[in-house]
Amino acid sequence: MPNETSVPDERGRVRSTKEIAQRLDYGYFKKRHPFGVWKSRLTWAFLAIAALAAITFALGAPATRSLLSPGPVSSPHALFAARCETCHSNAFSRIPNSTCLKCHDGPIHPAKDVDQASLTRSHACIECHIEHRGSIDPKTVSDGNCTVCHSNLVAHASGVTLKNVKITAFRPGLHPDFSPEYRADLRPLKLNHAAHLPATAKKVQKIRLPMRCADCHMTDRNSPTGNLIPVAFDQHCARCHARELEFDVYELLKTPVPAPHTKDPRSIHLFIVSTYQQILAENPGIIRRPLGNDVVAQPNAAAWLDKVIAASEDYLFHIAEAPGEREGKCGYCHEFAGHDLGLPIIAKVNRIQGRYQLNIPDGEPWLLRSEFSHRTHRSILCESCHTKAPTSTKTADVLIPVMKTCLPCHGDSHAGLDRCSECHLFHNKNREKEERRSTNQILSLMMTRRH
Amino acid sequence: MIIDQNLKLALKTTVALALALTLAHLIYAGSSSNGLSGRSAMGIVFGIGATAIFVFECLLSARKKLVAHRIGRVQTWLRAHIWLGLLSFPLILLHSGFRWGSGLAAALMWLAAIVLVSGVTGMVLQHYLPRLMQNLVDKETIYDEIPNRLKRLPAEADRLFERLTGGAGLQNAGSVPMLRTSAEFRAITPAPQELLSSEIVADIKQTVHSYLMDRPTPPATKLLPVRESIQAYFGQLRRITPFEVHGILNDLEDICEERRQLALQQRLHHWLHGWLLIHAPTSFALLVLTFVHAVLALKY
Repeated sequence: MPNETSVPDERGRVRSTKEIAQRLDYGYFKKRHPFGVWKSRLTWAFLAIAALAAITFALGAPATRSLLSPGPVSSPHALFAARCETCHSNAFSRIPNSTCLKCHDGPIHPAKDVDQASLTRSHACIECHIEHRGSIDPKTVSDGNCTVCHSNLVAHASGVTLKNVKITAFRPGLHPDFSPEYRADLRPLKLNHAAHLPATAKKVQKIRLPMRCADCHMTDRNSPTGNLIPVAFDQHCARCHARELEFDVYELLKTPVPAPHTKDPRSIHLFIVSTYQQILAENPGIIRRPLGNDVVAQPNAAAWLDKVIAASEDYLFHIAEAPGEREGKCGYCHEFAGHDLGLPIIAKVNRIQGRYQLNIPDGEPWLLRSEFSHRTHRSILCESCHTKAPTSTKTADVLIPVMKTCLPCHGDSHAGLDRCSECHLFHNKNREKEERRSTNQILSLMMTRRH
Repeated sequence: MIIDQNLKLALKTTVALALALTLAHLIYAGSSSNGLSGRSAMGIVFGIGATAIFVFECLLSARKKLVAHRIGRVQTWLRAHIWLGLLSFPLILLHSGFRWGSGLAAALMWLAAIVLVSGVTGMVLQHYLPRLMQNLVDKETIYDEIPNRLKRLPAEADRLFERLTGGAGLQNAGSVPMLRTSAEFRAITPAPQELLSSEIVADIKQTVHSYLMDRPTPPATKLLPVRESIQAYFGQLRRITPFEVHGILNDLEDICEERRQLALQQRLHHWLHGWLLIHAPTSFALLVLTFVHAVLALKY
C-alpha cells in the first residue's frame, strides 16, 4: 500500500472520466497475447519435429536405427548391429528360434547325459537370452529362468529322477550339496596325502616335505578351463619313488637299476631276468659268492639265477597276508587283484582326471551336473578349497570341496557369483551338431532381408 | 490453480497409488524370470496406462477451447490433469524397469521429465504468484493494457513538469490527445518557479523521464528500482523544495510508482505464464513420440 505521507491518493493526479476512458485501449482483446502466439508457434514446431522424426523412424532410415535400439548389442552380435532385420525378421512378432539357430546350435536340456528327463514344453531362445544389454553377455541368464523349473522339477519335466530336490538359490538349504560328497574314490591306489603334506617341514631320504600341490597336480596350460594333467608315475612320482622299484636286494649291480614301471608284471619279470643274466654273462664267477646271509654259494648258475630272481620278485611283488607282514614294494602303492602264474595281478589304475570307475576307462567327472574351471580359480591356494587334503590318509577320501567351501565367494559375497549360469549349463554340449559355414555364408546371413 | 485441500488430497492419493503400483510391480518382478522390463506383461500394461494419461493430458487444451461444451468443468479437468500427470511419471519408470534407456527411449524420458518439472513448477507458480501480485501490485491493470498505460505515463509526467517549468514540456505527448477540462486547469496550482532552481528541475526531469522510458537507463535504474528508493528520492526532494511544489512531486512519485508496479506486474505475468512455453510444446512432442515408440517397440 502506498505511504500516505509521501504519495497522495489518486485525486492528486488529473483523472477525469474522459482521461480514464482514454487510458484504455479498447482493441486490446483483438491482439493475440504474445505468450499465446509463441506457445502456438513452439507447439507446432515441436510437433513438426516429432512428426519428422516419426517419419524417419517409420521409413527405417539407417541413421535412426541406433536410436530405436533399447540398448547396445553384445559384442558377439556387434557384427550385424546395424542390420536389425537379421534377428528381427518378422514384424510385430517375437524372434523365432529358427533365427537364432541359423548360427547357434542350442541342444536340448538337460545339459548332462547323466539326466534323461525331458522338458514338458519347449522354450524360446529369447526367454532366457536377453540382448541389447551392452556388455552383458546374452549367455548370462538370470536365475529366475532356471528356478522356475528347478524349484519343482516334476511339474516341468517328465522322467525326473531327482525327486524332492527344490533349488531356488545357491544357499544352504536351497541347493543340494555337491554329489562327490556322497561318492567315494574307488581308485585301486594307496595314496596318502597326509604323508606328502606333513604339517611340519622335514626331509625324508633327501626329499623335502611338505610337497606343493602343484608338484603332482599340474595344470594343463593349453586347457581353457585349466584341467589338471592326470597324475602319472613317470612324470610326478618317479622323482621320489623310483627307488621303490630297485630290485637288487643282494647288491649285485654296480649301480642300482629300477625295474620299469609297466602295467604288466611279466615285463618286469623279464627285465629282472635279463638283468641278472647279463651280470652272469659278464661275470660268471659271481655265482661262487654266497648271496645275502647265505653261508654257502649256489651250486650252479641256474640255481643262482633262480634265487636272485625270486628274491628280487619277492621284494617287489610280495603280498602281505598277515598284519605286520612286510608288503612288497609294488604293494606300497598298488592294490593286488590276485596271482597269475606266480606273478601278481596289479589292479589297473587308469590314467584319468575324474572319479575312478572300473568300467569307464576315462572315468567320470567328479561334478556330474556342473562345470568347474581351475583356471578361473588359479589365484586361490589349493588348500583353501581342498581343505581335507593335508589330513587325508586314504585314497577313498573325497577331497572335492563341499558346497560350504564355495559359499564365501559364490554365495555371500553379493558379487553376482551365485548365478546358476556360473556353474551350470542349459544346453547339452555333448549333443552339439557340427555345422560350419564359410565366412561368406555368415556374412550373407547378415545381409538377409525381412521375410 | 490454488493448491487447496482438495488438491492436496488428490496429490496424496497419487503418491499412495504410485507406491502401491510400485509394490505390485516389484512383487511381479520378483516372481518373473527376467525382472523388470518394458517388454514384460506388466511393463506393457504400465506403458499403455502412461500413454492413455498422456492423451488425456493433451486433451486439456482442447477442453479449454470448447468452453461451452458440458463435458465436465474445466476446473475438474485441470485437477485431473495435475493428478494424472503426476502419476504418469511413476508409471513410465515402472514401465521402463527404472532404466533411463538409450536413443528414443531416453529422449522420451527426458521429455517426460521436462514436462513433469515444468508442470510442477507452473503449478507452484500459479499457487503463489497471484497472491504475491495482489500484495505487491495494487495498481494492477489488465496485462494487455500495460503497454498502453506505460506509453501514457510520460505524457502525464510532462504535464506536471510543465507546471514546474511554466509550460516548457519535456516531450510530446505523442498520439495521446492532451485534452484538459476547465476543472483540470482550476485544479492545477501554478508552481512558483522562482522557488525551484533550474538545476533541480532538470535533474528531476532527467531522472523521471529516463525512468518512464521503455527501457530505463542509468542513473534512473539505480535511483528508482524499488519502492523504497522511489520514496527516498522524492522524500529527499520534498526536503529541499518548497511546500508549494510538493503536490507535483507527490504526483510524479505516484507516476514512478505506477511505472514500477506495472513493470513488476509484467515480470510476474511472464513467470506465471512463461512456463507454458516449455510445458505445452514438449507435451505434444512427447505424445507423438510416445506413439512412435509404442508402435516400433511392438514391431521389433
